Amino acid sequence: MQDNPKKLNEIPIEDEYIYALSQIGQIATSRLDLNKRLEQIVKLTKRLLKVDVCSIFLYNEPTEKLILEATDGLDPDSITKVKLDIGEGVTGTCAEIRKPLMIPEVKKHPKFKYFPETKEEIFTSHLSIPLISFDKLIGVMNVNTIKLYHFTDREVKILQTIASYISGAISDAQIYNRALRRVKELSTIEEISTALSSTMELQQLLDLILKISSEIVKCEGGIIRLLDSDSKILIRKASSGMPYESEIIPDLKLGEGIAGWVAKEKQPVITNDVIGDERFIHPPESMVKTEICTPLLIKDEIIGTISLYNKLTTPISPEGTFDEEDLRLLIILANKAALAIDNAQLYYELKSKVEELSLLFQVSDKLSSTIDFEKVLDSYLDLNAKLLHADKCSVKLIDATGRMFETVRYIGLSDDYVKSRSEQIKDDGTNWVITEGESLLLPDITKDDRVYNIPSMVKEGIKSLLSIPMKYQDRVIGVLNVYKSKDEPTFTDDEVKLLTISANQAAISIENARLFKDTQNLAKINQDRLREISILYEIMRASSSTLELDDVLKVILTGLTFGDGFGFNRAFLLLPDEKIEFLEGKTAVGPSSYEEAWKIWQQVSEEELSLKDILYRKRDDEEYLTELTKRIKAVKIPINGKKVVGRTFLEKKPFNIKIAIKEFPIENEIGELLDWEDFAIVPLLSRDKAVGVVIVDNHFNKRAIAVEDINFLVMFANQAGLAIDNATVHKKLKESISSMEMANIELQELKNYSENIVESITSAISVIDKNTIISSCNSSFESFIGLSKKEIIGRSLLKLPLKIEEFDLMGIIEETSTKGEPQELSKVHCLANNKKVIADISIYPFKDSLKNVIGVVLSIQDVTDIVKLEKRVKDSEQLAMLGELSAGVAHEIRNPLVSIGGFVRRLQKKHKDDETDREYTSIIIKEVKRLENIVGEVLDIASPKKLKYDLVDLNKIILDIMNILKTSCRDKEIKVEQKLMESLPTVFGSSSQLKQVFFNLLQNAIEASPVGGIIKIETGHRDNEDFVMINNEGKSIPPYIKEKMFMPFFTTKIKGTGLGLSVSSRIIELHHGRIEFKSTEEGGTTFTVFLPKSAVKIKGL
Amino acid sequence: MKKILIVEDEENQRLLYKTELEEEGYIVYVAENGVEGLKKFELERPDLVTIDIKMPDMDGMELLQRMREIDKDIPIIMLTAYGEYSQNFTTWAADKYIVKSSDLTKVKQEIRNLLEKE
Repeated sequence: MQDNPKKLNEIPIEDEYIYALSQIGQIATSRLDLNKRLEQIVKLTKRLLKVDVCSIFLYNEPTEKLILEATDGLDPDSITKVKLDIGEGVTGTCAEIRKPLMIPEVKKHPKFKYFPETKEEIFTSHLSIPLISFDKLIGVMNVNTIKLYHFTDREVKILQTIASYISGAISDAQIYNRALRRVKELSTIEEISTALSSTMELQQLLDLILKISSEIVKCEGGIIRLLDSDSKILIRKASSGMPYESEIIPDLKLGEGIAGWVAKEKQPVITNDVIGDERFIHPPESMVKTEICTPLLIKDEIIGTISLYNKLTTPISPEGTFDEEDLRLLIILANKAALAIDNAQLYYELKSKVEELSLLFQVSDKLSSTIDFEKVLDSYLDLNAKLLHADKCSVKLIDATGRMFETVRYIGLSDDYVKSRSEQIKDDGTNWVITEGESLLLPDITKDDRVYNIPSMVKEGIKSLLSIPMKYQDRVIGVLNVYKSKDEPTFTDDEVKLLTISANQAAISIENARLFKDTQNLAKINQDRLREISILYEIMRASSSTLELDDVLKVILTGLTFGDGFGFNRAFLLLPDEKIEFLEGKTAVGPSSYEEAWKIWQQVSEEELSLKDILYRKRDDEEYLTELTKRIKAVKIPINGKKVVGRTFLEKKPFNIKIAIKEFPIENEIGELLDWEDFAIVPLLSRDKAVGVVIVDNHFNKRAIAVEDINFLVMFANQAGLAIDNATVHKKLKESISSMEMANIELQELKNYSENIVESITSAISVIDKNTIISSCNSSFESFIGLSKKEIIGRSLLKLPLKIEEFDLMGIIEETSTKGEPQELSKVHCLANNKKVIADISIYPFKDSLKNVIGVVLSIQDVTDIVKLEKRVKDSEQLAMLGELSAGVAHEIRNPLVSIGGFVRRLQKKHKDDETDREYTSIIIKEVKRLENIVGEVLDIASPKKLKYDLVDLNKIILDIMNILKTSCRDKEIKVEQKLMESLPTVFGSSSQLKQVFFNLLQNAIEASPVGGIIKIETGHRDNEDFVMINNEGKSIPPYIKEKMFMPFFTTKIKGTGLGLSVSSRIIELHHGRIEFKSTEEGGTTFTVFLPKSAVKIKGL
Repeated sequence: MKKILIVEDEENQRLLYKTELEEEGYIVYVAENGVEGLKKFELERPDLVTIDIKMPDMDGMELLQRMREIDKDIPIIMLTAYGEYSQNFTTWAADKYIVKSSDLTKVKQEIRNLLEKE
């Protein structure tokens, strides 16, 4: 079959088969529901044989049909729907011939029958194996492949093996038979009782007891009744051999019927003719003929009865009678059975107690359930004691260190004994049991050195001890102890076994529960921590994204109030003043009314805003200045320990005010503001220093503030404190930086200035030896000469491009070096590097350490610029003199001219009728006018420095001014909207004067603006003018003020010269521009400055 | 009848202005320096003031400011022989700034304008 893609001929690894088979075997014999077992088996088989289908049909005896019970590969809906007669189809044929049937092409087989519900039309090759158990047909197992395939012998055998597993598993009869056989094999009663005591399920046990009894005593059926201790009624718990009886045989009262009599008298009964026995009350339908009944006793207490019957028509026992031997056997069996039943009952209770224990551990909080837990442990002990018929027990659970007890419970021991126990594990046999992990059985405690505290145990009357380790995965988590006195029989092997099971089960429960709880705690802690950390992270990230104090504060409070964060309704922040005498309200976040709260919460949930969104939201929108913020800003409270907010700050400890309100009164201002008694105050700490306090509450949803909230708040507060501290430091830093920047600018100017000086003095210095060779020089000398140091040094001065007019430099140098006296030449004209230069030259003698003159220092100072400067100064001095003169001239000449001209005009008026007089006076007037004009012209020329007019960038001026006024805006929380036209052309004017104008206008706008208002600044051009528009939201200006606004010294401000607007209008007038303004209630006040676009001439004065 | 106060240190000009302005129908007070001018300003409460800038002791600028402090609504004309002061912001507090001339037409015209505005 080389064309088979599955390569089924490949021999799989042996181990794989063995493993798969053992797995199938395990499943077949497991306690799972039959259908589940079959389901798993078909799956595994299909996988093991690499076939496309595996199905199991079971033979149903009453209907004599094969029914599809499990399949992997056929349509699962067809399960239980496909039914076949024996001999019908291939499967039916297999069942009929009871042999494997291998058909390579099943569709061609004469017996082939197609069942549409299975959708099996796609399959080609087929293999059927009959399921047979003890010569009885159980069913058929099929495998199929889609492709043509010949199954190997080996595969057939494997399938047969699997089939045998299934047969075994399915055959209830076989299991039953096996159990019976095993019972038969038990040669002694003792062995039976061992079997009994190993069964802990009560019902199973009762069934087993009945089966064993029937086997030993040879009867057709039996009933076990157990006494309900409360109602004193014998309740039928198990019956066998007479299934119909279950409906007709009643429960019995003590003394009622034969079993009732047996129970009451605690005596066995044999009766071989129940009809003749007056105690017998079975209805006739029961067909009972003979009965043997014996009580089940524990320590002489009745717990139930066992009755065995034979019927009237019994084929098994022809006589149908019971004899004394039967009774003897039954009594022995009953004794063992009673013990087993009792144990099973106790075990049942124990089990439920253990379950209760686990449940308790799992569901309840440790704190509230410790008492319950101890109670459960006590009843667990109680059950153990009963199980072992002892009255002294203890359970000791050890803690994580393994050296101390975590929980210890005793029953049956005196208070003195309990009190004298130590917490250490060195107690009775516990230490040894824990160390060794083994049980300790001591018939006599006094003879064993592994036991501690023997005297106090002896005092309690304890003789023997059974200590069982409570193990969980080889780890001892506690010890279960049972003590017996010398009167009681010592422990049996069964008891040890029983207690071991009990101890281990309890250990598993307790440990699982602990594990569960730990995991739960861990998960919760992780979750909480994650939440905390992520909130902190978001908040810290947001607050570190800005270092502006106001923004940091807002971010912090937002973090506190947002649902994803702490979810407090409101948060208030107070910071100390500079002297730390008062706490001042800074900002608050939260709604100011229920309506607002509702609106905000709805908005947040509708927009699905996350903490992040809120934190990074534009921070200067209108929510910035809420009603609440306004109110908190008015709060100023002294820092002292008398009231709670101040105290929080001083003590650096959080307060949850629901608790503290009576002890510490709250500051009135805060109380009024909050209007709510349940709130928390947390100090904001930075490096162990309080930097503020935060108050939070849930005024609107009235949620109580939990301890965890406070813990987290404290953690948060530390971070927040740090952020605030950083921001404060940053603020100071910024201030100092700006002052440093100022200083730096000054320094820079100074530096430039000194550099300028250095530049202008440019002293070129060189050292020359007696042979006129230059030994060193400075860089100024280099540039002065126009050669590099390399080229200069070592050369003779004579060979440098340097010539001095009028003087013999060499002679002077020689003179200096011989005389040792300095020489100075002032303003000498020289030719250096082919340039004409004026220089001051100094020649100093250069001496060595012994004061011998070894050469000269030549210092040449280029004073060309200075000389030029001097000249200019002289010129300007002359000009200034001229200016002064002009002023004098003006006064001295113009004033008399005014008088002359003025009075002549008067004369002319007086003599207007006289022709000659008029002619003469006109001449004087004309001449005076000429003089006045000349004086005016002279004065114009002499007029000192005129204002500097230049090209001015209006946008830059606005930006410069806004930079200056930034702080004022921030103080009033004013938002500035700038709309500056980028391509705005420069205007011709005085930058300093225009600055003055816009400074005045913008300052007025800020002063007129309401808190939180908006100032709009717009630049642009219209027709032939550029304009700057400044709008504020201030109150409209009343008409009577409008008229006088531009008048000098007019002001409505308390402080102010009243010159601002008048000066501004004069400046703009001077620039040939104009100021317009509009003031309405709705639109606020707008000043618009228009300036002509083209270059303007200065308005002449 | 409107009252005009003339503060002028030159005697001849005081006479000229007084005569000319009285002819125009005003009541004219004169002061020869700043101190006197201030005194008369408070005493007479004129409807208009002319001030010569260049005066000994208290100069015209200071006087302007003092007068504005007392009453900022009274129009004031600054008269000077020298135009340089026009660039001093303080002089802008005045309603008018006029360079002196022997032809008083302009001054009279400005006085009329300012008084009509009242």
